Amino acid sequence: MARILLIDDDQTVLDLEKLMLVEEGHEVMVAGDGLQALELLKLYEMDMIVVDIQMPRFNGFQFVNTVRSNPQLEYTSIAFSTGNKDKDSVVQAAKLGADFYLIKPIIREQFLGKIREHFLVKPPKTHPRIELQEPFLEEVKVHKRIYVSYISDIGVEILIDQDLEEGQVIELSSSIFHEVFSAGPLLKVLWIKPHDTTLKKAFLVFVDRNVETVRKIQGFIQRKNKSEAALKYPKWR
Amino acid sequence: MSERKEKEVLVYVDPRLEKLIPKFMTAQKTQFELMKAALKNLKYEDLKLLGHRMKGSCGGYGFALLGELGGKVEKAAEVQDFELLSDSISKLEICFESLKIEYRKI
Repeated sequence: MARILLIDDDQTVLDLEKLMLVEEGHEVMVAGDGLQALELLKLYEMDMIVVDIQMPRFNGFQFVNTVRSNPQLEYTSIAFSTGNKDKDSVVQAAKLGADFYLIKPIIREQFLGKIREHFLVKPPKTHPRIELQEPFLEEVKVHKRIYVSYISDIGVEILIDQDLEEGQVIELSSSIFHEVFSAGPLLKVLWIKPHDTTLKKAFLVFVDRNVETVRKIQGFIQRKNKSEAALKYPKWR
Repeated sequence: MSERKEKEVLVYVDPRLEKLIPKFMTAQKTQFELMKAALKNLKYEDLKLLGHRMKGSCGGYGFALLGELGGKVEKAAEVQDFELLSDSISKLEICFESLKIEYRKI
């Protein structure tokens, strides 16, 4: 399934489009205007962008013009979803390089049908799935080079800066958590995620906004350790 | 899809959208209050934008009549037709007062 970015200044439209696309199995991100969307595009690779035209600050045409000028975003498909039915808007959208044009109101079958049809011609790439939306994930920064995440349906995961040596991991983990991270299954988990740079970037942004104290984290880990995580990583106790 | 039953405007909404409806209705009522204020102050650009938004969002949720009236507000604001604006906004008011939602697979 695809990763899709929705851009609209009307939250009710974003809610509706998101619900439909998530039900189809897509991974969906949302932005309230073009500038917010550009920030997201610095972090995530998208298969498709669905954008409104009339928005404050940076309208849909300005946004698409910027995206289409960036060769790195060449593969990303763009669809307009707008209430503008006039010929000038349709022509302008095509000139800017939009792949297709949808007229609001959003009708489920038309909306999803057009997107399905487009992906048959231009299939989405495979992305590592990013699950950063609450309530699925809680994460906290415990040291500038160690992060702890908790994904409810997976268990506890530790993300370690990929530049760290194993000895440094042990040293840091013992100084921060008063535990040594060296057991086999845990080490495996430790080293999987840091190589996923997309996830790492996304994670860092999230962490920057949600920094907690070490004390809280210790409590958090102990709590999780006693529940699901303990079952999955028994040596980490 | 909607139908009038005496003083009631019955709207059939897809049950899959049920969890979104409270937020949606609050947003539409807020937009409507903004419309009334904009009409009072003759802010045609604001009216055009508010009408455009209502037109774009309501139909997708099944509230076709609200969407249509939103479109009328947008058009009337474009040509600064005060009478048509007042009429459309009055109809919207009646519509909001008599809305009844029923969740039904469409």
